[in-house]
Amino acid sequence: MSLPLLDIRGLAVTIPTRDGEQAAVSNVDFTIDRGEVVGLVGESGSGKSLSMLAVMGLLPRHLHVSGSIRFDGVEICGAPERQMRSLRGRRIAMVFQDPMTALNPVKTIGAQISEMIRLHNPKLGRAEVKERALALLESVAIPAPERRFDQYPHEFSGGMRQRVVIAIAIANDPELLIADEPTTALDVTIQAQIMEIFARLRAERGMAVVLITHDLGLVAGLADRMSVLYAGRVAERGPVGPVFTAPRHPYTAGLLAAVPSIDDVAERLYAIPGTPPSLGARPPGCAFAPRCDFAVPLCRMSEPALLRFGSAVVACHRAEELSLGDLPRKEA
Amino acid sequence: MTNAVAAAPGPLLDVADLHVAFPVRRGIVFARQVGAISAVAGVSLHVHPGETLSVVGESGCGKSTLARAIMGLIKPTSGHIRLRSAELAVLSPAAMRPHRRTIQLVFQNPYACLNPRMTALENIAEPLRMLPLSRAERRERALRAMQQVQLLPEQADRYPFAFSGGQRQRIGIARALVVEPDIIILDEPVSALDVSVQAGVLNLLKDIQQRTGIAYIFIAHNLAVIRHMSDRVAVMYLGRIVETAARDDLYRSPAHPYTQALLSAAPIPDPVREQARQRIVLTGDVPNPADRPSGCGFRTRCFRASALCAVEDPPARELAPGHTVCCHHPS
Repeated sequence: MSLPLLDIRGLAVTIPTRDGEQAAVSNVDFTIDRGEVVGLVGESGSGKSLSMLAVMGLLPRHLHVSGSIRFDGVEICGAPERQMRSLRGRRIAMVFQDPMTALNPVKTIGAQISEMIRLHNPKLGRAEVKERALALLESVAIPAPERRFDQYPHEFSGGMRQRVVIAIAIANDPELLIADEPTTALDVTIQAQIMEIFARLRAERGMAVVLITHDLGLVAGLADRMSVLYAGRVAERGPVGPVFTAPRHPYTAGLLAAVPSIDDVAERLYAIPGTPPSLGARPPGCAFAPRCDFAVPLCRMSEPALLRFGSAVVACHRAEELSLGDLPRKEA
Repeated sequence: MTNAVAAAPGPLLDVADLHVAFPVRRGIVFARQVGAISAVAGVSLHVHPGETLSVVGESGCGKSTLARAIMGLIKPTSGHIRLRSAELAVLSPAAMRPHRRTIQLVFQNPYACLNPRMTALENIAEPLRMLPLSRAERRERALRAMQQVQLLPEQADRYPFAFSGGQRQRIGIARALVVEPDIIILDEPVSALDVSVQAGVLNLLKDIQQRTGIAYIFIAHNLAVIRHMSDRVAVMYLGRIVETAARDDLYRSPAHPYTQALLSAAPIPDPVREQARQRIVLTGDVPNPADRPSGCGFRTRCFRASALCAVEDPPARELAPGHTVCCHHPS
């Protein structure tokens, strides 16, 4: 296999607090190939957004990032701002969760898209820039782009704004698009439209997409592979099919069983007891052990290593022996 | 709960042809009304004791306005809200007060709905101040409500910041339960919670219902959650209920094109089926309620719209007992 487009090894992000440095992300490995869609799944605080902001070089300065982040073979972890600036928006782009705050309210949509095009192509003429901006609006299915070009963000609905944000992100045909909860703030029917745009971008432009989400349904629909993060570490990683049908980590299995199904009615849902540990309150051993139905004394003592099982990689002491097909529907 | 389920088979709550419109004003000194946004435009629904009626719809469809109108927090423009035999729509706030005990609301955002300067127990006990109870009785009932939502008595004196989102939502539910209502309106009660915590709250709501026979109006946009929780489902679009049916009828044979599109847009956590699925992807956005399309409100996004749909607003028609749809071309 050729070099992966993005290759993250042993990524750690620590946050200084009153009680010393706390690891919000530790030892995260992550790869994505060209044209691939990888889902990054986890609950709030699991470190999924932090890891990707580290890739973009967008973390606040006081956070400490270590490990290796290689983009197209070049190390970018700790790269100087000048180097990052030439990558961001040109080769790697990001779409954020909230389209209401991602746009500048006092500039027209057209000006904001044109700005992005001009930034990385300073020699283009005014007419060419506008032509490309209009083509972009059209590629994200905004009707009447000519009229929309001169409008302001407040004249757009939430779904339309998210399309504009995507249009800006793909303005320079990036090789990698990081989408951080791109549809969480949107309605289901609008979500379906946005997911369709992602699928098309990947098919037409061979764009790789990291889809950060807590919605397993979206991952199932679009992704080839997925990584499940828990408390800043990878719990399980593998191709989407096997992970969904035969999860090996109790947390993955729990997440899958906790989601109610639209086409089958279970009397009770599986509820994972407790809540994820907060920063700095990470239990010793396996971070999931206090909430795990299958924990044994070993789990509370030593941190499980990521080991390969078939096509997936799992961090669980009992991954080999457990059968997680049918979790008990028990009391929370 | 002590409230006996009504012996008569009639509905507990009966809402008929409810309209809520917000005036649009222009000008500051000589303010005048230039139009109206009709957020709820003729909604009829009923809830029987002990059942869960879900209301599903996208943002701006009027589902929260409907909840507020039923609660008496917004005055409806016209229509009836009957709780047992009392007509609530015409009551003044003071006359409404005795009925508030029967109907309670749980809000979406568990971070914003609790008073941060009151302990969990004080938050839960607050609604009891409208009842003639002694301090000790209030405390005892609040503790009992805490127990019902599986919070521990030792957590009673902690402040909201010390609780996680799921626990705060439990406090919110306890606060609704404490006055022993007959019906609770749950407005997106789990959409702000993490997936692993959601399931616990949903299970809890079901347990409480089984134990007490309380009725719920469950407002949500997640169709999988709704299927899990409901007895009957009402689908709302642009201020109207476009389809109502018993849960399994609705999921098995949705008749309104909007219901069909909603169901087909909901992602399924199963890669094989999800990637093979044929989707109905609607084009465009929900129209502005201030500028409602002529005829059927959904026709601008509908894949089955005909000339008739632009002219005539489709009346409700019954496809099967309990399954009503407002569409000229149901299938």
